[in-house]
Amino acid sequence: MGRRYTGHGTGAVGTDKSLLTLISATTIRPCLYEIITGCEATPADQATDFKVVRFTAVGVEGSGFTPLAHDPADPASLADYGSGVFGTEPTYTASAFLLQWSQNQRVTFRFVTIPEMGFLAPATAANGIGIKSSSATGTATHEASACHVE
Amino acid sequence: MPDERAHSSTNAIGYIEAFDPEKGKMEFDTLRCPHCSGHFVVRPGSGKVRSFCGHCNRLLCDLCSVKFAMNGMKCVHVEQLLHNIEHGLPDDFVPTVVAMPGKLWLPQDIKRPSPIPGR
Repeated sequence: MGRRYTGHGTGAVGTDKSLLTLISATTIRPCLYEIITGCEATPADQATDFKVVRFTAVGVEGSGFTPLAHDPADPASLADYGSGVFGTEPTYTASAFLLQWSQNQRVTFRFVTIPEMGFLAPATAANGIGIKSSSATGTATHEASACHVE
Repeated sequence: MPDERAHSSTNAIGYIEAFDPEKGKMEFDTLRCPHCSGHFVVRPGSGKVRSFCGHCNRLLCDLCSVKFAMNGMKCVHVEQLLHNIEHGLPDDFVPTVVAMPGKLWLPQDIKRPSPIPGR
Protein backbone atom coordinates (compact mmCIF):
# COMPACT_ATOMS: atom_id res chain seq x y z
CA MET A 1 0.00 0.00 0.00
CA GLY A 2 1.23 3.49 -0.88
CA ARG A 3 2.03 6.22 1.57
CA ARG A 4 -0.92 8.40 2.53
CA TYR A 5 -0.97 12.10 3.32
CA THR A 6 -3.45 14.86 4.18
CA GLY A 7 -3.66 18.46 3.04
CA HIS A 8 -5.86 21.36 4.06
CA GLY A 9 -6.86 24.65 2.49
CA THR A 10 -9.07 27.60 3.39
CA GLY A 11 -10.34 30.42 1.25
CA ALA A 12 -13.24 32.56 0.16
CA VAL A 13 -15.37 31.09 -2.60
CA GLY A 14 -16.33 32.90 -5.77
CA THR A 15 -15.87 32.61 -9.51
CA ASP A 16 -12.97 30.27 -10.26
CA LYS A 17 -11.25 30.45 -6.90
CA SER A 18 -9.04 27.57 -5.83
CA LEU A 19 -9.31 26.21 -2.33
CA LEU A 20 -6.67 23.52 -2.44
CA THR A 21 -4.35 22.12 -5.10
CA LEU A 22 -2.44 18.85 -5.14
CA ILE A 23 0.81 19.48 -7.00
CA SER A 24 2.42 16.45 -8.57
CA ALA A 25 6.12 15.64 -8.91
CA THR A 26 8.15 14.08 -11.71
CA THR A 27 8.77 10.95 -9.65
CA ILE A 28 5.30 10.07 -8.52
CA ARG A 29 1.67 9.87 -9.63
CA PRO A 30 -0.31 11.05 -6.61
CA CYS A 31 -3.86 9.77 -6.26
CA LEU A 32 -6.44 11.96 -4.54
CA TYR A 33 -8.92 9.71 -2.78
CA GLU A 34 -10.76 11.77 -0.18
CA ILE A 35 -12.21 15.29 -0.15
CA ILE A 36 -14.08 17.05 2.64
CA THR A 37 -15.50 20.54 2.19
CA GLY A 38 -17.48 22.76 4.51
CA CYS A 39 -18.01 26.33 5.55
CA GLU A 40 -16.73 27.86 8.74
CA ALA A 41 -18.80 31.05 8.47
CA THR A 42 -22.12 31.82 10.13
CA PRO A 43 -24.78 29.56 8.57
CA ALA A 44 -26.53 31.17 5.63
CA ASP A 45 -28.33 30.05 2.49
CA GLN A 46 -25.62 30.53 -0.10
CA ALA A 47 -24.72 28.03 -2.79
CA THR A 48 -21.35 27.20 -4.30
CA ASP A 49 -20.47 25.07 -7.29
CA PHE A 50 -17.29 23.10 -6.66
CA LYS A 51 -15.16 21.33 -9.22
CA VAL A 52 -12.19 18.99 -9.05
CA VAL A 53 -10.13 19.73 -12.15
CA ARG A 54 -6.72 18.88 -13.58
CA PHE A 55 -4.26 21.75 -14.07
CA THR A 56 -1.08 22.16 -16.08
CA ALA A 57 0.44 25.17 -14.30
CA VAL A 58 0.36 25.74 -10.55
CA GLY A 59 -0.22 29.51 -10.59
CA VAL A 60 0.85 31.52 -7.55
CA GLU A 61 -0.43 30.01 -4.35
CA GLY A 62 -1.06 32.06 -1.23
CA SER A 63 0.65 29.59 1.05
CA GLY A 64 1.74 26.02 0.76
CA PHE A 65 0.61 23.23 3.01
CA THR A 66 3.15 20.56 3.81
CA PRO A 67 1.38 17.20 3.40
CA LEU A 68 0.93 15.48 6.71
CA ALA A 69 1.79 11.78 6.67
CA HIS A 70 -0.85 9.44 8.08
CA ASP A 71 1.95 7.17 9.24
CA PRO A 72 4.51 9.17 11.23
CA ALA A 73 7.23 6.77 10.03
CA ASP A 74 6.70 7.76 6.39
CA PRO A 75 9.09 10.18 4.70
CA ALA A 76 8.05 13.60 3.46
CA SER A 77 5.58 13.59 0.62
CA LEU A 78 6.88 13.99 -2.91
CA ALA A 79 3.70 15.76 -3.95
CA ASP A 80 2.75 19.07 -2.40
CA TYR A 81 -0.37 21.05 -1.54
CA GLY A 82 -1.09 24.65 -2.48
CA SER A 83 -3.57 26.68 -0.50
CA GLY A 84 -4.43 30.20 0.64
CA VAL A 85 -5.43 33.12 -1.53
CA PHE A 86 -4.02 32.45 -4.98
CA GLY A 87 -2.33 35.43 -6.63
CA THR A 88 -2.65 33.69 -9.98
CA GLU A 89 -5.02 30.81 -10.40
CA PRO A 90 -3.66 27.51 -11.74
CA THR A 91 -4.16 26.84 -15.44
CA TYR A 92 -7.01 24.38 -15.36
CA THR A 93 -7.65 21.99 -18.22
CA ALA A 94 -10.97 22.69 -19.87
CA SER A 95 -13.49 19.87 -19.69
CA ALA A 96 -11.37 17.82 -17.30
CA PHE A 97 -13.79 17.75 -14.39
CA LEU A 98 -13.05 14.76 -12.21
CA LEU A 99 -15.87 15.52 -9.80
CA GLN A 100 -18.26 18.40 -9.41
CA TRP A 101 -21.03 19.24 -7.02
CA SER A 102 -23.09 22.15 -5.76
CA GLN A 103 -23.19 22.72 -2.08
CA ASN A 104 -25.22 24.88 0.26
CA GLN A 105 -23.14 26.78 2.80
CA ARG A 106 -24.82 24.83 5.60
CA VAL A 107 -23.81 21.46 4.19
CA THR A 108 -20.70 19.44 4.86
CA PHE A 109 -19.61 17.34 1.91
CA ARG A 110 -17.36 14.29 1.86
CA PHE A 111 -16.17 12.13 -1.00
CA VAL A 112 -14.11 9.04 -0.39
CA THR A 113 -13.03 6.05 -2.44
CA ILE A 114 -10.51 3.24 -2.34
CA PRO A 115 -7.10 4.98 -2.08
CA GLU A 116 -5.80 3.52 -5.35
CA MET A 117 -9.04 4.28 -7.22
CA GLY A 118 -9.09 8.04 -6.79
CA PHE A 119 -8.14 10.89 -9.11
CA LEU A 120 -4.72 10.31 -10.63
CA ALA A 121 -2.35 13.15 -11.45
CA PRO A 122 0.46 12.71 -14.00
CA ALA A 123 4.09 12.49 -12.92
CA THR A 124 4.82 15.88 -14.42
CA ALA A 125 6.14 18.93 -12.61
CA ALA A 126 3.63 21.77 -12.06
CA ASN A 127 0.75 19.47 -12.97
CA GLY A 128 -1.87 18.28 -10.56
CA ILE A 129 -5.44 18.41 -9.39
CA GLY A 130 -7.24 21.38 -7.90
CA ILE A 131 -10.38 21.80 -5.82
CA LYS A 132 -11.98 25.10 -6.78
CA SER A 133 -15.26 26.96 -6.61
CA SER A 134 -16.37 27.73 -10.14
CA SER A 135 -19.25 29.95 -9.09
CA ALA A 136 -20.91 31.03 -5.85
CA THR A 137 -23.74 33.23 -4.64
CA GLY A 138 -21.69 34.32 -1.64
CA THR A 139 -18.10 34.86 -0.60
CA ALA A 140 -17.97 32.98 2.69
CA THR A 141 -14.75 31.28 3.69
CA HIS A 142 -14.84 27.56 3.00
CA GLU A 143 -12.47 24.81 4.01
CA ALA A 144 -11.25 21.83 2.02
CA SER A 145 -9.33 18.84 3.27
CA ALA A 146 -7.97 16.17 0.99
CA CYS A 147 -6.06 12.92 1.30
CA HIS A 148 -3.79 11.45 -1.32
CA VAL A 149 -1.73 8.32 -1.73
CA GLU A 150 1.60 8.05 -3.52
CA MET B 1 -28.25 -8.20 2.80
CA PRO B 2 -25.97 -8.14 -0.23
CA ASP B 3 -27.49 -7.07 -3.50
CA GLU B 4 -26.79 -9.79 -6.09
CA ARG B 5 -28.28 -7.98 -9.06
CA ALA B 6 -25.99 -7.54 -12.05
CA HIS B 7 -26.29 -3.78 -11.84
CA SER B 8 -23.56 -1.21 -12.20
CA SER B 9 -24.64 0.42 -8.98
CA THR B 10 -23.66 -2.71 -7.07
CA ASN B 11 -20.07 -2.20 -8.25
CA ALA B 12 -19.75 1.28 -6.78
CA ILE B 13 -16.27 2.02 -5.52
CA GLY B 14 -16.73 5.58 -4.33
CA TYR B 15 -18.96 7.11 -1.72
CA ILE B 16 -20.31 10.60 -1.13
CA GLU B 17 -21.95 11.75 2.05
CA ALA B 18 -23.37 15.18 2.65
CA PHE B 19 -24.77 16.41 5.91
CA ASP B 20 -27.65 18.85 5.64
CA PRO B 21 -28.90 20.34 8.93
CA GLU B 22 -32.50 20.10 7.67
CA LYS B 23 -32.46 16.86 5.68
CA GLY B 24 -29.88 14.99 7.68
CA LYS B 25 -27.28 12.74 6.13
CA MET B 26 -27.47 12.04 2.40
CA GLU B 27 -25.47 9.25 0.80
CA PHE B 28 -24.57 8.50 -2.81
CA ASP B 29 -22.50 5.81 -4.48
CA THR B 30 -20.08 6.68 -7.26
CA LEU B 31 -18.47 4.83 -10.15
CA ARG B 32 -15.02 5.60 -11.49
CA CYS B 33 -14.61 6.55 -15.13
CA PRO B 34 -11.81 4.41 -16.63
CA HIS B 35 -10.87 7.15 -19.13
CA CYS B 36 -10.28 10.13 -16.82
CA SER B 37 -10.29 8.61 -13.29
CA GLY B 38 -13.14 10.94 -12.38
CA HIS B 39 -16.08 9.76 -10.33
CA PHE B 40 -19.79 10.17 -11.01
CA VAL B 41 -22.88 9.47 -8.95
CA VAL B 42 -24.89 6.41 -9.92
CA ARG B 43 -28.55 6.04 -9.00
CA PRO B 44 -30.17 2.63 -9.50
CA GLY B 45 -33.24 2.86 -11.69
CA SER B 46 -32.59 6.43 -12.78
CA GLY B 47 -32.88 5.38 -16.42
CA LYS B 48 -29.89 7.48 -17.38
CA VAL B 49 -28.21 6.16 -20.51
CA ARG B 50 -24.43 6.16 -20.30
CA SER B 51 -21.69 5.24 -22.72
CA PHE B 52 -19.95 1.94 -22.20
CA CYS B 53 -16.36 1.22 -23.24
CA GLY B 54 -16.01 -2.39 -24.33
CA HIS B 55 -12.25 -2.19 -23.99
CA CYS B 56 -12.38 -1.16 -20.35
CA ASN B 57 -15.66 -2.99 -19.68
CA ARG B 58 -16.81 0.01 -17.67
CA LEU B 59 -19.32 2.86 -17.87
CA LEU B 60 -17.96 6.29 -18.78
CA CYS B 61 -18.63 9.66 -17.21
CA ASP B 62 -20.60 12.27 -19.16
CA LEU B 63 -17.60 14.24 -20.42
CA CYS B 64 -15.70 11.14 -21.52
CA SER B 65 -18.86 9.83 -23.17
CA VAL B 66 -18.86 12.88 -25.44
CA LYS B 67 -15.14 12.51 -26.21
CA PHE B 68 -15.64 8.79 -26.79
CA ALA B 69 -18.36 9.44 -29.35
CA MET B 70 -16.44 12.24 -31.07
CA ASN B 71 -13.25 10.15 -31.34
CA GLY B 72 -14.98 7.24 -33.02
CA MET B 73 -15.22 5.05 -29.91
CA LYS B 74 -11.44 5.20 -29.41
CA CYS B 75 -10.48 3.97 -25.95
CA VAL B 76 -7.96 6.20 -24.16
CA HIS B 77 -7.51 4.59 -20.78
CA VAL B 78 -6.45 6.78 -17.85
CA GLU B 79 -2.99 5.18 -17.84
CA GLN B 80 -2.62 6.15 -21.50
CA LEU B 81 -3.97 9.64 -20.75
CA LEU B 82 -1.39 10.17 -18.00
CA HIS B 83 1.35 8.84 -20.30
CA ASN B 84 0.24 11.35 -22.95
CA ILE B 85 0.33 14.25 -20.49
CA GLU B 86 3.74 13.21 -19.16
CA HIS B 87 5.22 12.97 -22.65
CA GLY B 88 3.54 16.00 -24.18
CA LEU B 89 1.38 13.98 -26.55
CA PRO B 90 -2.18 14.84 -27.56
CA ASP B 91 -4.69 13.73 -24.94
CA ASP B 92 -6.36 11.32 -27.36
CA PHE B 93 -3.15 9.70 -28.62
CA VAL B 94 -3.20 5.90 -28.70
CA PRO B 95 -0.21 3.96 -30.08
CA THR B 96 -0.91 1.89 -33.17
CA VAL B 97 -0.92 -1.84 -32.51
CA VAL B 98 -0.45 -4.13 -35.53
CA ALA B 99 -1.35 -7.80 -35.47
CA MET B 100 0.47 -9.97 -38.05
CA PRO B 101 -1.06 -13.29 -39.04
CA GLY B 102 0.89 -16.49 -38.63
CA LYS B 103 3.50 -15.77 -36.01
CA LEU B 104 3.90 -13.49 -33.06
CA TRP B 105 7.21 -11.70 -33.55
CA LEU B 106 8.96 -10.84 -30.34
CA PRO B 107 12.10 -8.73 -29.99
CA GLN B 108 14.22 -11.76 -29.05
CA ASP B 109 13.31 -13.47 -32.35
CA ILE B 110 15.33 -10.90 -34.22
CA LYS B 111 18.52 -11.71 -32.27
CA ARG B 112 18.13 -15.49 -32.55
CA PRO B 113 20.54 -17.06 -35.10
CA SER B 114 18.98 -18.66 -38.13
CA PRO B 115 18.77 -22.49 -37.99
CA ILE B 116 19.80 -22.60 -41.67
CA PRO B 117 23.60 -22.21 -42.05
CA GLY B 118 24.67 -19.26 -44.05
CA ARG B 119 21.44 -17.37 -43.72
